[in-house]
Amino acid sequence: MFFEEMLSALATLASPINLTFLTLGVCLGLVLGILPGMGGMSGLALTLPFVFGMPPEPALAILLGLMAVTTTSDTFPAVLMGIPGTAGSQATVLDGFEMSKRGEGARALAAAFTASMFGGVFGAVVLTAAIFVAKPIILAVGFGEQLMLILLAFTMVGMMTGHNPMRGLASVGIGLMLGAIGHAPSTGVVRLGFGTEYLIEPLKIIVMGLSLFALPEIIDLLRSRSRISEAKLSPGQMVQGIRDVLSNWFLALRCSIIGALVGALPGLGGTVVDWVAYGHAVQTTKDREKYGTGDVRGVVAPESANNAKEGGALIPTILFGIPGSGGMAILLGGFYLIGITPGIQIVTTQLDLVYVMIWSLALANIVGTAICIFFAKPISGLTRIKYTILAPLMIATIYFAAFQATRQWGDLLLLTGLGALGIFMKRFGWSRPAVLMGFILSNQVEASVYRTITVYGFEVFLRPLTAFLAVLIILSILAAVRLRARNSDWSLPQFQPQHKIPQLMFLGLLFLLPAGLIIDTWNESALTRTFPVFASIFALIFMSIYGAQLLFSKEAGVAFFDSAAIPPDQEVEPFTFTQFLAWMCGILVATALFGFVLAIAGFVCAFLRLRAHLSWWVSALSAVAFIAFLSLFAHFMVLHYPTGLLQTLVSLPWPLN
Amino acid sequence: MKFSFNRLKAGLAASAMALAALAAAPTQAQVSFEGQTLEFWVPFGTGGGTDRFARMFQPFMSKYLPGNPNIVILNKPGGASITGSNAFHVSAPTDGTVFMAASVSTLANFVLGVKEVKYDPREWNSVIAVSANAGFYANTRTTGVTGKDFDADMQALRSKPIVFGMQNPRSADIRNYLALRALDLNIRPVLGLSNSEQLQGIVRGEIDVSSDTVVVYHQHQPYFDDGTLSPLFTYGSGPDMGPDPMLPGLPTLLDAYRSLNDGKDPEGIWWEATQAIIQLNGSAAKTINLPKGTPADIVDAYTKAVEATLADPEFRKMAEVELQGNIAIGDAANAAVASSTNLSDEANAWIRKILKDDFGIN
Repeated sequence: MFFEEMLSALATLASPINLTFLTLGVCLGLVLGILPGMGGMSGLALTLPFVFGMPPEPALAILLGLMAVTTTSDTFPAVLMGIPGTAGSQATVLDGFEMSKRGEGARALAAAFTASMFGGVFGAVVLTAAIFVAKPIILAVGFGEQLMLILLAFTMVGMMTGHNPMRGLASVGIGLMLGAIGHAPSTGVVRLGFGTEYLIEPLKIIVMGLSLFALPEIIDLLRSRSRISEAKLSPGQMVQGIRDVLSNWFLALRCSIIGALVGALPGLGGTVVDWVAYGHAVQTTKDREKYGTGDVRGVVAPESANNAKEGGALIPTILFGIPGSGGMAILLGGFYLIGITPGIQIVTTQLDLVYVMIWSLALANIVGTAICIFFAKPISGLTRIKYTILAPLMIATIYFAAFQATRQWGDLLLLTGLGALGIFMKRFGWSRPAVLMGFILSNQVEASVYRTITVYGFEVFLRPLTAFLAVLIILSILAAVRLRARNSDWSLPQFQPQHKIPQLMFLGLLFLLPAGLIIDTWNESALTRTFPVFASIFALIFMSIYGAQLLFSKEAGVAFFDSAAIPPDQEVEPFTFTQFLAWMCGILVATALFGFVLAIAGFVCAFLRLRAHLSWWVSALSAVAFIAFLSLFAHFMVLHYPTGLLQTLVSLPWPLN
Repeated sequence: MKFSFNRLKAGLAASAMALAALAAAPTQAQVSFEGQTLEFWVPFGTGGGTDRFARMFQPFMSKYLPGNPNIVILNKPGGASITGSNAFHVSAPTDGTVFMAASVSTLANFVLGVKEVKYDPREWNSVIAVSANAGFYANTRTTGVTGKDFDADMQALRSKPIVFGMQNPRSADIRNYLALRALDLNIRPVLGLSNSEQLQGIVRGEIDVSSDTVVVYHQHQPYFDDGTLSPLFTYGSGPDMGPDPMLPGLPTLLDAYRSLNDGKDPEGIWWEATQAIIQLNGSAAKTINLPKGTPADIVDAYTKAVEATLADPEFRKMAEVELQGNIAIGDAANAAVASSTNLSDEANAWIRKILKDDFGIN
């Protein structure tokens, strides 16, 4: 019966329309994986609006297809340019880029793709096994155990807090506070809503993801001067790369297991899995001094792990609705959108859809790898597109996708506001993954602590599984401390920042958030007040400590950090953070004046002309093309874009009205 | 500013209708939406219960409204339906070109006095109201309820603290709390639990008593069969809260009250308030509404279209699964909305007091 259902799900997925959507998702995912900084989470956030109203099967195919392969194609920039396409391929750069410089780029790519496929399919197998025993797992993991899992996730977040732990923990606090905005989960009383309708509901994860990650990363693209190594992608080398994986199959298997495990632990997500696998490879294989000089095993290990993690990460997402990463949180939103509720009913009444997910995951990995291997040459050309041309289109798409969250002005304001937060966090070295995880886990931890105390009180620790998880939490904290001690020298600032004032001003502004939350909730009942006050105090403590560090640090270092600093010999400023912010505010003001459609078109045109130095003709044409794109969606998805002052004075034809 | 497009369209539509009215016989102004695009607002996101409800009606309303207008669904989510409902109340045109689906949350926000609410659903013209009948069930192991001897079951419930899950007290969900409170049980509510989490909790035995709407209730049959869960009682059906034909054989909340109170019926302000909150779901869980001040002939056209929809065999096939509840049309729909939103001042004060005393909500 089990296999029957699996096969029937495969048959469902194999219908032409579902396969088309799967391939579409895969292609999108491959492109987004190549663009540095985009990755799975931004991709899902951009795609979610388009699956509104789709039947669940094609929707799952496109979402999982996209998510599965961003960690396959992210190898292109990692190997060819030494820039990781997503956080999951940071470790791949170490050996992959060396191989590429040596003229073995094709071999590194093929090995990476094959390892990715292996890991991805392995992840799907792990997920299948987990679904098979899902019922007992769900019955064993009660409120208390869920709380422990969430706390465990928090200790894991400790590992991704960047190089200054105080600033990292303050980042977690900021995420927690952002998560406290909107109605309290247990009482429905609105916190820090300023009496607006928009802030009655909690901040939307899609807008969070786009503003904290996608937008600030574009700055990197604009500031970077890519150094491309012209790769000779010879077929012989490709075959050699595939052979490399076969002869290192045991390493690939071990790293896939690591990937699936790390993925299944909520909180870690994709930012560390490649390093864990790389570390494992170095520790457990012979002649380790070769690592870092272009050893193919250094490519196989992280690549098999970062694709295997998705299968693992789906386990807590599907079974408990506890997303382990930003991407999973957005995917979870997508699940609700197409009528899938995580939990026990998913394995009783919606099992067929779970199998569709599993098959999508496995097939996407195979299709993605095939595309990457056979079309390696044209795809690698994508890494050569000028970013100044790409950036305005990406920004415009981000604005469009964010507006889909609730289709209100508030979405655009929030995107700009949080975008500014994200940009300055990036500039001053704050940990945005930590903010996002704090945000995702905030509602869960608030509800979970409260329900565990209501149902169990402290007797919860008498439950064996809870006690076991509690021990795991303590071990995880110890491990985080140890790992930090060892890796404290990662990515220090390259150049000496000159001024301390901008950072101090930014920090000062951040203090408004806890202050506002505490004042706003002070007169509410304990159920409404406890969590925001706790989160605020947590944040205040670490923000204060970091503030003191910053104030008293004389030299640039982990505390006094400004990535906007440029080398003294560089005369022309690259794209500055302030300029970027100005462009974003420009879009907002233009929308208020001329409406969304005209504002976006104007932005695309102006940016292409002024920054990418394209001719007026081409710029205008691109803008018109973008209007056509927006109108098309307005038509099919029945949506009205925000209008501006202009529209109230003059009546304009569709779609400008 | 936001609705200038609508106003423009409304203006055009109004002038078109004025022309049409001139052309028609003076005694009988025919309502026709021919060639027009009507907006069917849903104050929630896509994929939710109210969205599905609206999308079920969409093609049939297009088929049965005079002139076969094109109908588009416009999702206006935000603020637990407050954003869309406020906009509907304040600025929707009254020419029949905009109508809105609403859920029990929309009404509950109004009744429970959420301060962002700027609408009054009693002023709308509701053309259909569908109830969401529901029932309670218990974890067999933790409560000792067996579903065999009702009086013994009720005594078992009263003998120990009852943990039960709900979403938030400032929503229609509070009916569950009020119902159990009416029985004077020792309840320990766990707030902030989604329906899915409530089900998992009760199957694991962390929650003792839970409630679900009829459609979901029937999905629990495997758990009733293997003895994990036991059925308790229903809210009852209709204004008199009598036996529910959709959950046949189950006692009602009133039966439960009588069983625990020597056969007496509940009375007093507290019961008036409790009953009204229960009736929110019990009569108007999902509604379709036209704005206040819509002319009678347009309301009439919509009512007729809804009637024809309900008679359509194709629609009935879907409705058998999705629309398990009592259906009121036209004046009866308005009455259903009014009966659950028109609270006496005393009843209103009582509910606010419960929210304050039991949940600390001002």
